[in-house]
Amino acid sequence: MDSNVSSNNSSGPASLVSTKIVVAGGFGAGKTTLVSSVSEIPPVSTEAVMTEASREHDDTSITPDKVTTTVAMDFGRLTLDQELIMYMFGTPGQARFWFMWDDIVRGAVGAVIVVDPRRLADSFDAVDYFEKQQSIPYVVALNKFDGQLDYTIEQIREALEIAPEVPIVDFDARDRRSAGGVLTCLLEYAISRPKSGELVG
Amino acid sequence: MVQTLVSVADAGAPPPANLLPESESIYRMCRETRSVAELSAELKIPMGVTQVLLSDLADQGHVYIHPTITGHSPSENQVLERALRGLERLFQ
Ligand SMILES: Nc1nc2c(ncn2[C@@H]2O[C@H](COP(=O)(O)OP(=O)(O)OP(=O)(O)O)[C@@H](O)[C@H]2O)c(=O)[nH]1
Ligand SMILES: [Mg+2]
Repeated sequence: MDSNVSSNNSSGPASLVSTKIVVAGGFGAGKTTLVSSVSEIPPVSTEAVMTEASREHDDTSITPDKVTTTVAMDFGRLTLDQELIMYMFGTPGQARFWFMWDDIVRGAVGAVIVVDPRRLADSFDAVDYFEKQQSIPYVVALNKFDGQLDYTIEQIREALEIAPEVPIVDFDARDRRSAGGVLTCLLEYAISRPKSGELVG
Repeated sequence: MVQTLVSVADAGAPPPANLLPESESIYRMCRETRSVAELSAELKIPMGVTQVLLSDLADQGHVYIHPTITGHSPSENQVLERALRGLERLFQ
């Protein structure tokens, strides 16, 4: 065929597998910064067109009862070994989109909730979402924004009603190693958690 | 799922005849292994539409859909361990 086409996939593309983690958190907490710090590709902002039930009162008769909303999200990639790729998906900060997140969150090995410790209340929605999910392990990452933490980690756990087993770490979202350490922490936690197949009563 | 990787069997083969223009673009891009999210972002086709077109292409045997690891079953712990080692290597 076209002998000039060189597709050199030495590792054999058929054996590639992928996995993903989700980066969540309040508005302006540092989600995009975290994904950009660790991703091997320039941060892509991909758009998901999502269907949202519209409010009845501002409809005209010809408007269908669903509207689509375009939501931008951060997207990054890490090649972990020759046959394993991990994707990172950053969720948008606005809480009103959270109910549409199920499609993005489904099948994730875990989630990072990025928290700005100066604005704890902005993290309630994200923490609440993952506490209710139960099936997806998450860690809480406190983005220090150059400053000192005003509270102890246990005070923050109490304020956000985070379960006792969930790791809470502080980090600098702009620092590659620091941000990578959060991902390492998430994977360690995900491995240590009992899987559904081995739950004992 | 959005992170699922897709590739064509034979990167040198021309696209099959009678594909929708969108499906043909997807086919061409899948000559290198790509994720659903990347295909959607680059071709500006909404994620949900991309997923439908891909599953049709897969049903017809034109593209191969790679496995994804969710870590929800104990048998996948080995892959999670590999992921952890990869992260440690990258960020130690
Ligand atoms: N000084 C300082 N600034 C930071 C740090 N982390 C993030 N920022 C800045 O804070 C702002 C918000 O960070 P983003 O990463 O965009 O936050 P986000 O969570 O993606 O925000 P939304 O997507 O709008 O919800 C940006 O201007 C960042 O440059 C940090 O550790 N220190
Ligand atoms: Mg952002």
